[in-house]
Amino acid sequence: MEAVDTGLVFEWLGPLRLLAVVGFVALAGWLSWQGLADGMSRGRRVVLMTLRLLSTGLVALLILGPALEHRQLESRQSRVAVVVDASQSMQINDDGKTRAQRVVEFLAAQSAQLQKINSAHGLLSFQFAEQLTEVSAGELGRSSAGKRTDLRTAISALAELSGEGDLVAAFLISDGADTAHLSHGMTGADLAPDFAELLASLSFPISTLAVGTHAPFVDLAIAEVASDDFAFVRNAVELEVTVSATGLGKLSIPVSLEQGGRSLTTTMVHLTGSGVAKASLRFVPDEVGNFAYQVKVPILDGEALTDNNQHSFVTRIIRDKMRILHVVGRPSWDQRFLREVFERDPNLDLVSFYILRSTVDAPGVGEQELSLIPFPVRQLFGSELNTFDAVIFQNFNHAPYDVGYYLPQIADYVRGGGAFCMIGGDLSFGAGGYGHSPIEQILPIQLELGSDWHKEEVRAVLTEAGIRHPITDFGGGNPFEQLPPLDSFNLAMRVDPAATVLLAHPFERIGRGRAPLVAIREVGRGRSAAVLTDGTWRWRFRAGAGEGSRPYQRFWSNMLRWLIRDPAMRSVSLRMSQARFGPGEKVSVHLRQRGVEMSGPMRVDLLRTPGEEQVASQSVLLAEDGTATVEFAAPGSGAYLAKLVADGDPGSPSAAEPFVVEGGNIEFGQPAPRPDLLAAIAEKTGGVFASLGEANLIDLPLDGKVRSRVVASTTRPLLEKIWFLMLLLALLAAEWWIRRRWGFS
Amino acid sequence: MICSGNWLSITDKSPVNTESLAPSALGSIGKDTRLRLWWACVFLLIFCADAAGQAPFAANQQLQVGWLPCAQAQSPRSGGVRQLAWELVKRTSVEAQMEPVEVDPASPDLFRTPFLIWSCAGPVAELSETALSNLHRFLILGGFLLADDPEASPGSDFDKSFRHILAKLLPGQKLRRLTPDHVLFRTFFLIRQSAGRVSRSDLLGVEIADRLAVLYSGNDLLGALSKDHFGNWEHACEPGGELQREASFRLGINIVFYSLCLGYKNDAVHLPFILRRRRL
Repeated sequence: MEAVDTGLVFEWLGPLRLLAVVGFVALAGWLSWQGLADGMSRGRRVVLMTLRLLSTGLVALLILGPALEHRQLESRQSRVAVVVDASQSMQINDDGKTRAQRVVEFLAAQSAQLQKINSAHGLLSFQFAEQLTEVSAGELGRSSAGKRTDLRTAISALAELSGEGDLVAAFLISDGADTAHLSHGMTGADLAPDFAELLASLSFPISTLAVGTHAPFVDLAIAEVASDDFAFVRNAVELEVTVSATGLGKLSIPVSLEQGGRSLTTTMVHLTGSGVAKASLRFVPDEVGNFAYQVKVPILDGEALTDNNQHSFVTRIIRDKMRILHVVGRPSWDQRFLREVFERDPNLDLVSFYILRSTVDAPGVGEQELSLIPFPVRQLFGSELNTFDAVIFQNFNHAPYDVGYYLPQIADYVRGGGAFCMIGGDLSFGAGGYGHSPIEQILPIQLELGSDWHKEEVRAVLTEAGIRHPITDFGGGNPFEQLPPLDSFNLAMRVDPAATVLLAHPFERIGRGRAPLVAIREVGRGRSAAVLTDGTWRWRFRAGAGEGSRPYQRFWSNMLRWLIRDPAMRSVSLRMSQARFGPGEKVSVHLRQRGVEMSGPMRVDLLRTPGEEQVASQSVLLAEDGTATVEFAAPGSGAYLAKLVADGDPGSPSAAEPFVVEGGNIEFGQPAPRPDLLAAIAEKTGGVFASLGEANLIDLPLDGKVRSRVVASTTRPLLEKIWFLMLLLALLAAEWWIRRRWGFS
Repeated sequence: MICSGNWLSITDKSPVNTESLAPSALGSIGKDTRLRLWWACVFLLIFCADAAGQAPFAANQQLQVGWLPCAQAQSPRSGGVRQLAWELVKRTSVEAQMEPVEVDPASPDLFRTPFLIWSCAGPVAELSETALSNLHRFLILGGFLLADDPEASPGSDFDKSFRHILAKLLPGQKLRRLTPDHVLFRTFFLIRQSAGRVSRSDLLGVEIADRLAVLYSGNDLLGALSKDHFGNWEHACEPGGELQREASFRLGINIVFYSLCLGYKNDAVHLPFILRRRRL
């Protein structure tokens, strides 16, 4: 449909030119008026002035170039946009059907009306989640995988699309559960000013159709867990958990934190009318590494969604400094040289207590003349015990200092993830009264009752296990062959079946094997070591050139790091490409092996935690440099463990790393429909708000203004220049003739 | 050997002594028999003690002092070392061998005794290149050398010869005065200054990697501790008398504790206690 439109235009009109013309006309008029003779009558003056102004006006028109423009106009087809929510919250099952299914049904029921609208205006189909995407009409409502609901971004994109003005209406079909800019506090009464401004600027009405409002929505969800990506071992970590409840009224529920199926802490949260409450969970990690944690709330009757009742995340637990408690029964060279190793390690926070005066010593002076301090047994082995990464008893007999009362706590501390090392001497092991004590239960050896210390030179022999163990494997060769003999040893009664002997006596035997000089053991979640000599200082302080103190320092440094499970001491390590994955994302597991040869085929298993149910497995082929990468498709949402398994070699070192697959927790954190928000959008734009089942698309308001566009235009100058100039000359000549006739110059 | 290692504990320290065992364990035996057994035990202990005294090197948990050679005669201060060891055992938890052992600085056995004393009536012995190299390594690796001038006279033969050897041992290093805030003055006793048979000079020392490796006393510290075989003090302490002798024992014990514990008393946990007692 076409129409013609004609209008006056000025070809040369521009701001500066217009200003210059106005100035010229004003100046010319003022000069003309001033130039008229004083004795001239008013009538004559008006006549002359008129002629001069006409001349000036003609000059001005000459400059501006007036013209007539003829435009051919074509009416534009108006458009109506149907915009459907495609976020994951549309998967929520409300009363038997998902929200997305209800949209599909509604659009199918409204197909006749959509046809009519399409015929009259043209129909545009969009879906939105994080952003607006144009889709075919048949795809509407079929997808609901978007990770966020972002209404503002979708409406901004619609505003840009309607820039040429052919959009006459938008029908927005959504649950309104915005999880982006409008997730908090955006109701009809308090829309954010910038969002309200955006809505007011739209040239078309948005009618909103709410999904999921036909039945009461009941859900309890963990909306958010604020946690850091890393934390320090043995330091309290605090998590802030936001819990949201819909349709549940006031209630108190427990919020718990778990790791690998083990409950770490629980707190109660009290939900009031607002439906949102925050809870703080505090725990103290006791091990270094990457760990998957789960925050959980109970599943209540009638909940629309149960996946959002737990949230998994991975935190890297790192060590600030190794905190070591070093208790020494008597100053000795063994303690002196070990202290030097500790002092030189910048990553070590050493707390030492040496018994400088036993209960039977008599210094002969008062306490005020001594530098001795009380041995804070209760503090060290009571409240402070769990702050230490490792406890070392060096030639320390517990009995005179009432430490015996705390031996069960020390044993529990080790089983719970701590580390303990006993170093020999005439006050240690059996000689120190540890036989049949709780400490014996965590040591790698069983003890004689009574003195087991022998002052005899003995050269330590590296065992088969010691050759490839990270404590005694210094990278090639057997350094212990070159080291001086030890001065003494404590003779164990038996080696615990769970222990590994790294260094042994060359000929002294207990049971079927050699008497251990250095033995280690895993105890529960912790580790223990027995160094059955007080003579390792001889490895440090020795004659001759060569490696000097390096073997001694490496031995003790390796020992400490093994005890505290330093990840750097692992002979095999796994590393995930990232800690969190989305559904279907590629999960890359990088494997690195050092020091030891893994025998037999290996594989990486993906295990769902807790429970360690295997969900995937792949064999591993190591490259020459000892590395390999294995890839999996991310399984369903939840916490998992990637675990290296060496088939046929149970003694091979293992490694495992946790990761989390997020299944749309952001959307399910606040899944309740937001009809108030949708109603506010409709009101601000002149649209209509209705529940999905109650609406009829054909009845929704459109913008009635006719949209058209210029198809073609022609411009014809209003005055031909020659005629224009002749008229100007005629006017000037007339003015001159009249003035002369009236007797003026 | 285990017996010799524990002899001092049994006689001087152990709360479980033979007297307390006698009534219960030996109650059913006749009086004469008990007396014979008693003497048998005493002889056994004396034998064990004698065996310990003759051992070339101490059991691990007994501090053994090494004695460096002199140019002319045996050092006159071995009695001071014996008395210091006796006081250490009596007053502290440290177990010490009574007799110092003479060590050859050129021998690998030097490294069995990380605590060395050099104190000569005349000049110290000249050292071979091997001995110098060995002693240098000894100090670098963590050994401790106490030099004590029996003449207590600056410019004495011992003083000159020791400084000459020290310049060869640790070139570029000089003896420096220990300030009163040095940890050595609070390793066991809280003391404020140097002491010895005389009280003329401060303690001097050479540090290696923030650790005192060489300590020089110009006050004849061991002379103040020396007793003759009748139990009499060999030398009078001047000008402070017996108080000065007690100060010398405390300094000697502190020196031993420094060599064993290094900066232990600089640990933060000790400082509030030490500062409070210093103020008293």
